[in-house]
Amino acid sequence: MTKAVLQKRWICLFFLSLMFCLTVCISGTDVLAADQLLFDEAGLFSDTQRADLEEQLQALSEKMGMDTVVLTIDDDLGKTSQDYADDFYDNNGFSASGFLFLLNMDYREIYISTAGDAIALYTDERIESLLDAAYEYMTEGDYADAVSAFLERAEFYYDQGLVPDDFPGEAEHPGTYPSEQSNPFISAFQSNWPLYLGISLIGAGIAILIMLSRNRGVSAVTPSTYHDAQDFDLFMHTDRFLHTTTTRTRISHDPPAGGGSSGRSSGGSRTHTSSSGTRHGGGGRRF
Amino acid sequence: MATVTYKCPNCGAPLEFNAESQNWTCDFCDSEFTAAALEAHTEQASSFDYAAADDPQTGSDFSGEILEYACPNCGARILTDKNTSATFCLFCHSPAILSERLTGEFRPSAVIPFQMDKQAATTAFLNWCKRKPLVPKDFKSGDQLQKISGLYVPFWLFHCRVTGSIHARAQNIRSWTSGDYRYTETSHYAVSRRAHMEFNGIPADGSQKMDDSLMQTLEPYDYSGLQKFDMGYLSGYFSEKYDLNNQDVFPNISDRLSQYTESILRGTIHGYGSVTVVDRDLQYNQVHADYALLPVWMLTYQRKGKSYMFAMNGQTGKVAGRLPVSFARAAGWFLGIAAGLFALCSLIGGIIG
Repeated sequence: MTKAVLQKRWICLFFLSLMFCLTVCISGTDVLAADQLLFDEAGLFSDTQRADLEEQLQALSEKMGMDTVVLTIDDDLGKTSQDYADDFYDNNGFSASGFLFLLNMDYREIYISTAGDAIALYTDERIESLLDAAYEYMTEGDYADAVSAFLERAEFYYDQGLVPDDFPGEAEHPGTYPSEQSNPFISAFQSNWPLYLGISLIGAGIAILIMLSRNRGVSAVTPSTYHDAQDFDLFMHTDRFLHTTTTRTRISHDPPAGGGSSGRSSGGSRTHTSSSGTRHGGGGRRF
Repeated sequence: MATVTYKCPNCGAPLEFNAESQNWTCDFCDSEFTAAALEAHTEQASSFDYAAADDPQTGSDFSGEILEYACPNCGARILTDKNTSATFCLFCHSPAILSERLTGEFRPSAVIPFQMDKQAATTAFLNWCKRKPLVPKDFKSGDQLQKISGLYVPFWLFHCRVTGSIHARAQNIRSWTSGDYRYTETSHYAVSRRAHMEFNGIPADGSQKMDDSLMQTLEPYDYSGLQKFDMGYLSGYFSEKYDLNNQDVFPNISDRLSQYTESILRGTIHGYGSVTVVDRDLQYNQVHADYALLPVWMLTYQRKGKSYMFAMNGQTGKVAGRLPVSFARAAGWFLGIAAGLFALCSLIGGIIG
């Protein structure tokens, strides 16, 4: 190989790596997941289980582009599960978007804390469903299965994408979140296009019918065309009152919207601010 | 039977009524004559009555049984429709007016002369076509005009004095909320209206072969243009006498009158939320029908082997008839509008959502 060709190769290689770095920088540091995602402080899992779960978490984390953390504790230091989970997530250098699944053996509670893009993705309803997935196993002591089931369902919801019509324009950072659409026009389009199609077809149909009806001559005669208005003699007109009927119906009062300040019927995530000032979503359940 | 042609006193050529100048002009020497001049100076060439010569019995029957006449100009024997009262000789194209079909009970009391000549009619028709978005392009060029003829159609113009009445039920609804209840109060009324009304000039065409709905679409005619009947107006046009008398067409008129009177009386009821007419009645106090000839341009267009017939009011230019539809154009418009609406919906959806 001549020197010229070698030089060209190095230049190409250089540019390729530059492109790679740029891509990484632009898409955010979330591409590379954190080193450790499973923290079994309560010692619930065997070595093999731990290895498997870590693997599962790493794969999921990479797929979703967020940190998916699992933490087990047997001493909550007097804090609520919510505070413990939020603080742990905030203070250990995890990515801005992600969730933490806490198994609090001290208080016997499982808790999910969401941050960043995960807040929108895991609505209160979905969080309940995730807790359902783990709950059965937790009561039976199959903690590894509980975590597995939880992660499976979490992945399922990720594949489904954002619940439509919530949080339009919420995500301000680019994220590596393929099914989330930050552009409100496109998200509205994705969910509503059959409606648009229906409206446009019906509208066009009506327009065409109107144009067709104009393709023939239309009569211009009204009742007053031949009527001699001067000679109109209304010699009898009576307006006689007959009777009145009055009905009344009881107005049913709707029960107040179930619990909480959100007031949203389906979807929606309630959020709170953790001690470090970060916004988190989440929910928990005692077992 | 006597057939009449008006001849120019200057050159002897046939005279035709000119819609543009509302006078009679000679195509050959360009002379122009008013109605008065027509009466005073022109000759009415009458032709030899072949039919009478053949059969003395039928010769004097002017009610329309004779279907043959002789052209006053060239003498040719021409067959005609039993209702034709003015036509042209097929051979020499000289106008021929069958005067016997315009006398006695068949003499019209009035006529509205043509206000638009052939050229103006064609132009008006093409303009009408131009404004229709679904008409195929080649239709608008005017080359498709197969036939255009001016025809006086026999009409019965009805003047009626009637007494109409309607009875109706009316309601007013009021609702309000008080406490835990929603109240709805409905007040019922019985409403009656009765009036003497007069209608003038409701037309009904007295020719069986003319399509009634087509003729009705040509309305209204401006009756201020009515002239006392003179045979001269028919010169240069076709004309028909009626074959349906005023009693035959009366049911048509009476339907229209019922509609009109109910509508007018209904219009005098105000101040109610809803009104339903439950009974209607119409009494005829006076009915009078005049026989008049009204001008109609008949146009036939050809396209792809099909014939399309249109009628045009010879006084106002209003067109009746069905235009062909260009499927390609209709599809184009449909898709265009659908696409436009789709884009608009997406935009609005994005903004609202």
